[in-house]
This record gives sequence, structure tokens and C-alpha cells, in this order.
Amino acid sequence: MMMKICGGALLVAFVTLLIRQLKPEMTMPVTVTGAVILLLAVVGMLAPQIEYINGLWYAEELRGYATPLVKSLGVALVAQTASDLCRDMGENSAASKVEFAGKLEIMLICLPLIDKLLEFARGLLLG
Amino acid sequence: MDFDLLIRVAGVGLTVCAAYMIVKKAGGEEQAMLISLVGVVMVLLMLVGKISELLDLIRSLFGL
Repeated sequence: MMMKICGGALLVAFVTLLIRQLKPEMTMPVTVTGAVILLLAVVGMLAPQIEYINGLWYAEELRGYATPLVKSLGVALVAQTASDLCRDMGENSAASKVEFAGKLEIMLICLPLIDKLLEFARGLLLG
Repeated sequence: MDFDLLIRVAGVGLTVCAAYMIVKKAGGEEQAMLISLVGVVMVLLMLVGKISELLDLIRSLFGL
């Protein structure tokens, strides 16, 4: 699978190079297509690991720690991909906004954990 | 993993390029512009289904 992805990435680069010579406007759709196909393959590879991580935290009280981890991984993946695509098209400002939104979303997902940590610290300090 | 879509997009790109050159040589500047616009829109229409498939996969896998 990894070899296939490497070959696919090289194919995307080659096709982009070819199209850029002939018609620079058509480069963007080719890049987006390549990114979507490659990401589909990579996320398909990721599925067993995610199931393994979800299976590790089998106890119900520990599940609260696993879900923010997996969720923030997904948010990071989506935000990074979108910002990379924006950057490829030369829209740096939109890319940085998407990254900022991703950071905010991860912060929101992690807020319950931060709450627990602060609760723990308060318990240690006050008795 | 299917690279058919990528090959198809490259084919659309090459066809649009050829049609653009021919129409431009024949003197139709505005039509040539429209041809390149149609090429981009066609590719984006082909992509929309794939993008939604990707987002659905990510949403179900990571529980978002």
C-alpha cells in the first residue's frame, strides 16, 4: 500500500508538471484531485490503528481520554489538508484562517480534559 | 486506490488545452476563455463526489 501511495504521489507530481507547461489554470484541479485520492488511501490505511486505539481504552471512565485524542487527530488532518490546498493555490491568508480554526476546534475538544486537570490541581493544593 | 480519476482529470486538462489553442487560433478569444472555464468546472464537478466520500470517511473514522 505504501508503495502504491509513493507511486501515486509521483504520478500526481508528474501530471501536474505536464499540465503546468500547457495550461497553468488547470494545475489547481489536478493538485486537488491528487490530494483527495492520496488522502483517501492514507485514511483507509489509518483505520486499523484508530480501532486499536479505541480498543485500548476499554473501561468506560477512561474512554473520556481516548475520544479527544482521536477527534483532535481527525480535526488536525482535515484542517491541515484544507490549508495545504489553499496554500497550493496561493491563498495564504485563507490557509492561516483554516489553521486557526483547526486549533480552536482542537482546544474546544480538549476543554473537558483541561477542566479535569485543573480540578486535580485544585484538589492537590487545597487538600 | 483508484488513479482513474487523476488520469481522467489530466485528460480533461489536455483536451481543454488543445481546444483552447484551436479556438484561439481561429479568432474566438471569448469562446476560448469559456472553454478553459468549462474545463475547470467539469473537473470540480467530478471531484465533488470524491471530496464528500473523503469527508464522510474521516467523519465516521474519527467520530467527529
